[in-house]
Amino acid sequence: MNKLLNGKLYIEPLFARLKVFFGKAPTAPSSSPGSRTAEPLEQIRKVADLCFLCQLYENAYQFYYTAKKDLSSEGAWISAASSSEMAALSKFMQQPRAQRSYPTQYVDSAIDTYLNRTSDDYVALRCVMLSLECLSQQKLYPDAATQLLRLTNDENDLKCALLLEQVAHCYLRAKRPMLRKFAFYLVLAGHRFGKASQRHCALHCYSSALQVYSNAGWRLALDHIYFTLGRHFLSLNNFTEAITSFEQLVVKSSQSSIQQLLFLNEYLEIANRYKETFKENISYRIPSIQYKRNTVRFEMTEPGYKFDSEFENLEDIARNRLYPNGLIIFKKKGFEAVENETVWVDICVVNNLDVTLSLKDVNLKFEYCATDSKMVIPAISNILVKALSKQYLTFQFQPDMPGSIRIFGLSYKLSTRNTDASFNAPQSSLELEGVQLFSDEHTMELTVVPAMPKLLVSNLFLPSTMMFNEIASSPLTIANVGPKTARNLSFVSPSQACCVVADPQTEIKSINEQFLRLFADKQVKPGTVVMQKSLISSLAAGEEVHLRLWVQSSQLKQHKIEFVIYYEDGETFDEKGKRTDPRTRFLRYRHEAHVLEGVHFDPKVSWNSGGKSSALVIAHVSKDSSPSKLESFCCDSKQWLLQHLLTPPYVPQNFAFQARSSPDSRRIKNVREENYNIQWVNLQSGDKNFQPGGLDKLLNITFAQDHASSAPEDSASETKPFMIAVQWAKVDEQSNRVGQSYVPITELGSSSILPEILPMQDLSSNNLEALHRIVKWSIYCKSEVHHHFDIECPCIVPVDIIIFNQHNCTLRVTVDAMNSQNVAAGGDLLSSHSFTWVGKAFYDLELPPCGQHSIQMHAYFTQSGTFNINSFDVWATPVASNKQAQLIPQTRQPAFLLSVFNDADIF
Amino acid sequence: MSNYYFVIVGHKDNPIYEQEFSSHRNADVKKEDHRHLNQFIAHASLDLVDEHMWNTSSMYLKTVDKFNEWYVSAFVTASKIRFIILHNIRNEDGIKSFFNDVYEVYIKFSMNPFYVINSPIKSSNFERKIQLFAKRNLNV
Repeated sequence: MNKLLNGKLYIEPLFARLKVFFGKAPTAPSSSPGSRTAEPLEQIRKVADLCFLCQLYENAYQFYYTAKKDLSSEGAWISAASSSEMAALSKFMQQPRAQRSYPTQYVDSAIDTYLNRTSDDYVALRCVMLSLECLSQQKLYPDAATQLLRLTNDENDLKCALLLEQVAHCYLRAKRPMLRKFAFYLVLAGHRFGKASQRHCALHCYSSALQVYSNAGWRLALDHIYFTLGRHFLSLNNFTEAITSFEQLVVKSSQSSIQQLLFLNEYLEIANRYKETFKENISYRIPSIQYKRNTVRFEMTEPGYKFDSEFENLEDIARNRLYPNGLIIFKKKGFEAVENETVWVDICVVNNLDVTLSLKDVNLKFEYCATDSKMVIPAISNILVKALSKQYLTFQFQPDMPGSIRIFGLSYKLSTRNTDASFNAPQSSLELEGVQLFSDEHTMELTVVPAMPKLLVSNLFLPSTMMFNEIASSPLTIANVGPKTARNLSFVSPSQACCVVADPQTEIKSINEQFLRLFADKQVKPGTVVMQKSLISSLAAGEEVHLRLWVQSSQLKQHKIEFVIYYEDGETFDEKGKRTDPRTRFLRYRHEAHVLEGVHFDPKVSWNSGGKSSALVIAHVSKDSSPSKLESFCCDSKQWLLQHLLTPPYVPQNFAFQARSSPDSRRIKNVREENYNIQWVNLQSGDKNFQPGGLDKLLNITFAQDHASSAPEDSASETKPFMIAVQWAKVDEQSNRVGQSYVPITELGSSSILPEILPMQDLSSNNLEALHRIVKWSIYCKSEVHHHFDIECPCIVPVDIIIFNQHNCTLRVTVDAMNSQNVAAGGDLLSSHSFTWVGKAFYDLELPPCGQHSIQMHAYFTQSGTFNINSFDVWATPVASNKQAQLIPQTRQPAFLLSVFNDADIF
Repeated sequence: MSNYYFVIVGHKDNPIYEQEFSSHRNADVKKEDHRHLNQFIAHASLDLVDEHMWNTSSMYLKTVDKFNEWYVSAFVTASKIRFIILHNIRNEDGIKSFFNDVYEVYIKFSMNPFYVINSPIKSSNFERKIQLFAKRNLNV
């Protein structure tokens, strides 16, 4: 009872107090010195305790409450604290029938008193633990955590650690789990466990916390956890786990470079101890390997160079075109190397640390599946991987047997010993051998196939800068350096690369034509492939062949020149003597040229009077591009015949020509494109090699065909855009460039303006308009004539005229050039002189139904200028209707312009 | 001596931007050892930030947590990006205006079409502005 009175009873456990009540009764009445003789309070407290024991909790609460109030007013703080603690407990015992909730504040104040007024923290701890039970029963975990936290400012590490762990779990069990608080307090608990040398407990705490922190990006926090884990594992001699933790610190780090170096050195130390203990090789993760960049090269290019899928597409197209039905190629996984040919294997390693790594004796780990291969891959003796950089490890070897090679890892000695040591931090002298194995999907497979022919391109010098539409060429030597004969060499290149291979003697004119056709095809079908099949049928081992590669830059800024040369080895036979498909191989080439602005033309079209069958086109060179000279132009149109008009005074920056609708164009649709000649017009005066084009010939081939059987029009040829290709040259101090620009002239597009075959019944005398158009004629002669008027005054030009009967009846036609008014073509550009017809200038003909007739006349010029040759009169009448019928004058057709140059003016 | 640690936290609890300020010039050396602690405290306070942000309509949540000498104040943007600042002295007005300034510059930054929300901010311009705001509002 003494104890009870001087306020010490509360510190004894409940069972001890039971003894007080039921066991030995207090012998002496209370009156120890210094104690408060608050008799009524003592009684109240006693009654409260009795009520509590008798499970009269509400009564107990009331008495405890009164005692607490009175004791605190008396200043007996500790007694009051014990009473309030018991009051809270009484309330808790009434659960769940209690009217009021659990009074946490009572316990809080009790803890306060215990902490502040007693030196014995055991009391406070007991109080908190009791309260923790009460609160956790009621799921009031955050309150429990707050109470527990009040005891964690203690010197006793183990106690604090245990309490902090409880705090963490309180946060986890809260109604809305506080995962991040949980992790934080676990880290704190782990820290205190560590200080208390309870390593297993510390590890447990840190490992749990790690789950929350990993993958969120809090690098410093994470590093702290990994570092502590590593240290604890190390002191527990768990090297495997210690290495794993330290590895995390060195694989990637955001620490300072000195800190990184310290981590790395510690990692190497631990790895060394691991190796000594387990006698096992270290499996490294630094430097990390970028598997995507790993590659196998078969040519000596820069490391890591990969030919992309564009080449593979080209190769597939080439195979399909050459063998549309056969040649099944099974795409094997990995790379295909050829026996006795050098192979380069590039492994890309990346150093993510701010510390230079030194690798020594780097070996490629591989398996060679062949009967008795003795191949050795030479090691790299020493290589430094600089801080935060990428480095290729290149291994070079020659497979000596057909078989397969599997590359599955690297072995090397890792150290931090730098040649350029600029750190103040201590450098470890440790040099530790280890391996880094590739995961299964990154293993490199190499199939080694028996010897094959091998082609190499040499002597190819393409310019690095080109003008737009410039045509450049380079010699091209293809040599077979392999041990076998290469056959069926074909050249394949995407059409946008604009590459053509030709014999070195080929003239540029034919190349120009090829490029024109290529351009026209590209307009219709972009993204096609140019293929020159069987360029060379066979090339024996050691032989070489000289060709010329022509390239036109067709893309501004960057032009990618790429091609593959397909070849195959000789026919092979399998074990049964059956012929198998040839093995194919490709030579790949790529070059990139920078492309500058080139020459552009701006065409202007003006139609001649009398329908859209003849047009005058003037093409201006855009101001910003000026070629030194314009050579010529050409066109692949079937519809239009072109004639150059000289514009006096002669200016190199523009040119004019006349386009006349070709009467026979619709009838030559059966003629294949390839057979069709390209019209060439020379723009250089003094050149006498003017070709009127192959039209006469074509005319004869096709015109004789029965018009009645003509099929519906070929829409493809109709819709083909009209364009001309202009050849230019640009000469300056540095270079001499030639090129070919394409000028689309949309006005001369697809509109059909051809002579019609008219039905017979139209030719009644009532239909005067039709009677004035019963024949059509075309004029064939040079579009320009050069003549030296100083030497010989008159210039006589032969003119061929072909007259067509457009009707299904016989016609009588007269051509009369004698009385015609030979008016020169008007306009500013053209001179206004006249000419006369000489020789036979009158013809009287009879044309069969739908027939034609060719006549020749001679024009006589005394001066230079541009003249309209179409100046004669044509008369016609149907014979069938009336023999004596009056001839009807035919409507004059559009002008045919002929330019006569005086060579004396030019030179 | 006033110290501050400011961090912008993304939707996946990932730090987007971190910066420390101190009124003391030579504090860097000593702080190096405790830098991870700032991260721990800021990360732990996220639980309370997430709780508090539903109790108020304003973006500035005032002081939400305290650990040892560190107070944790927070600001939650409309897109639920959390600005957390650890401070060892009370400076409610300064922090409030600092947050508002940062919010404005963060909005401008996030409107950059090349910036992916939740990815770390690595802009020297942004850093300079934050430093300027810290100087103006936090006296560091």
